[in-house]
Amino acid sequence: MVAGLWALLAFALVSVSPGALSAKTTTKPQEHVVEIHHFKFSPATVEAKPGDTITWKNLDAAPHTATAKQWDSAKLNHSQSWSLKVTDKGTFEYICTYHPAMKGKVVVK
Amino acid sequence: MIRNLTRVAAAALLASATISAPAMAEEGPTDMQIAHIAYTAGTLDIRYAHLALAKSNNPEVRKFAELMIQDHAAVNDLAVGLLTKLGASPEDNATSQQLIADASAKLNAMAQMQGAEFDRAYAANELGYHQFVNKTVETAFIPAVDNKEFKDLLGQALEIFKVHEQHAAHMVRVLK
Repeated sequence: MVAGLWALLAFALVSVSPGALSAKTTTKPQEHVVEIHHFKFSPATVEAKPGDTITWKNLDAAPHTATAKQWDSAKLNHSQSWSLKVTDKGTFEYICTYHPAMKGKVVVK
Repeated sequence: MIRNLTRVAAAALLASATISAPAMAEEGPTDMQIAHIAYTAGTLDIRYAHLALAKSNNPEVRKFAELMIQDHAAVNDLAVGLLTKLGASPEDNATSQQLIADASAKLNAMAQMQGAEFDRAYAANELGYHQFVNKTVETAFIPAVDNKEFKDLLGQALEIFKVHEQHAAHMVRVLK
């Protein structure tokens, strides 16, 4: 009888574990990519979690930047990229300093 | 047929910009002549920008000039990279020579100006220059170019130069 209960408990634990694994997967840091193309950031808004990494790739012929008050990619020439690991929660609006009409937003929550 | 249309369109544009029509080859420009003209036009805008940085204290003008140096150098670098990859060389031609001669005259005239007079002249010249170059690239050069990679590069360059044109128009309004 006791052995039967242990077996039942073991089965229950095994059947729970996949769910626990998938829960872990969702908290794993994510990689986000922002393409800079046709003088736009795409996507214009990135939603991320602390620990995620965002990479900007410049596909335009013109140099661009991704510059917020808190961080700055510096000049990104054609085909260059720059990555940022976000740590603080908040909304970070950024622009290209060379072409200030280009605007983007990073929301970390 | 395309070559004829290109020749007519380019000749008309060039004439309207006081660049002599005979400068354009009879059969219309080849890809390598277009490459030379486009590269020359970019280089000349960089020269205008260096003059602006030497003469102007206006932050708006200086920022624009720095952008022109950066963006036109970037486009020209990409063009050189493509030509190197293709194993091709740009071909000097009468239109390029005429552009250089016209720019030299303008640079000399602008070099005599000071202060706000220079700033306004620079802004107006940048607007007119980009309007002229953009129209030529869009309606004459891109349709005429045979090489797909070069056509794509001209398309990317045009996108940048249209942003410059808008920026120059803003600068003209601000400096009035």
